[in-house]
Amino acid sequence: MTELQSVPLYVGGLWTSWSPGDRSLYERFFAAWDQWGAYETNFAYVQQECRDQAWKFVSDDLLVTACARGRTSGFVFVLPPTGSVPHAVQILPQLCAQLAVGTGRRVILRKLPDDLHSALRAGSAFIPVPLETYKNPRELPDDIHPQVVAPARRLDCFTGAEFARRETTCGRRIASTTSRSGTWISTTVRMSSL
Amino acid sequence: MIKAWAREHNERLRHSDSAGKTAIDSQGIDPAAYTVFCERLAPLVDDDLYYGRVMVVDGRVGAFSFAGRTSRKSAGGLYASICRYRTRGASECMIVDMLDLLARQGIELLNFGGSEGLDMFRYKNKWRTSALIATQDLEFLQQHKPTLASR
Repeated sequence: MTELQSVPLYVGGLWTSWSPGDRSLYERFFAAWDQWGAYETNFAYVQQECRDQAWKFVSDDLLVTACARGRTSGFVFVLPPTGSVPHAVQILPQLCAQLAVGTGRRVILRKLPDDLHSALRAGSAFIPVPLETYKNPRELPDDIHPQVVAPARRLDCFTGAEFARRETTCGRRIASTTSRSGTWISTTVRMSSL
Repeated sequence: MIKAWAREHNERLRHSDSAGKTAIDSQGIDPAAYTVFCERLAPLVDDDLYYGRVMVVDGRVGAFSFAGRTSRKSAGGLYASICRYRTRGASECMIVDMLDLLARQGIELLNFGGSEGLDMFRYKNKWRTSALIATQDLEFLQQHKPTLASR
């Protein structure tokens, strides 16, 4: 594959450029269209996916994000839309057509939930994507195996051959593990406090 | 720490490449997928919508994790949890700590996300799975001529 554009891709039409400053827009949509359990409805996920170059479509009831990664990728990815499913079904073909023209890349809708997937398959604009389509492992879907949901709960102990959790005499939680070189002690601190 | 971890991970991939002929330098872990949490998202950590923790071992960062609230109805997502390979047990420690933190903030369920490989899927399932959510991809047919949406 030849190197694609080394300058930013331009996508026009209904799309506008995405920026980290769009966080409040996303937080507003995620709050208004609360989709319980959906992995993609936090700005951290969006920011991670949009780290290279991205675009957004926004209307009163729909927010759609598209991102491109790497100069040699042949794909542009559309993240799961937030908002009205009927509106998404109606407008995604047009949005994807504009992405395809603007980037010259194949357009993939990622992580579609059942309802949106079924509705889009009922039309003629979208087809399934075999895994062999992707030549670069970095482009493989995250969800080849399904998302795992587990209870968040306070664990007072964690049993295992090499791991134990305990309280120190002063009541401070620590974790310890034994390795060949001996026992080390770790502490966890809030990321933003560093 | 992230770049060192990515280097270690990609080195492992290189050794486990059974064909032994694939150039994977450009195909392994992309450190930018994780440095983005430090560079862009760390300042957002508020223990309400965004949760980030680092593990300091012997005075050095050995692991970090990042999660976020995905619903006001008590659900969250885990977006990163990585540690240096030599820090044994750190992965479990980070997840236990994050589950504790989220539980204290009223989050009842954590979505670990999907997996590209079976080993990662099995690892995620050891945290007492209560639900599996399957998603699917679709490709846009380039020859499709959409009608103008009118809204």
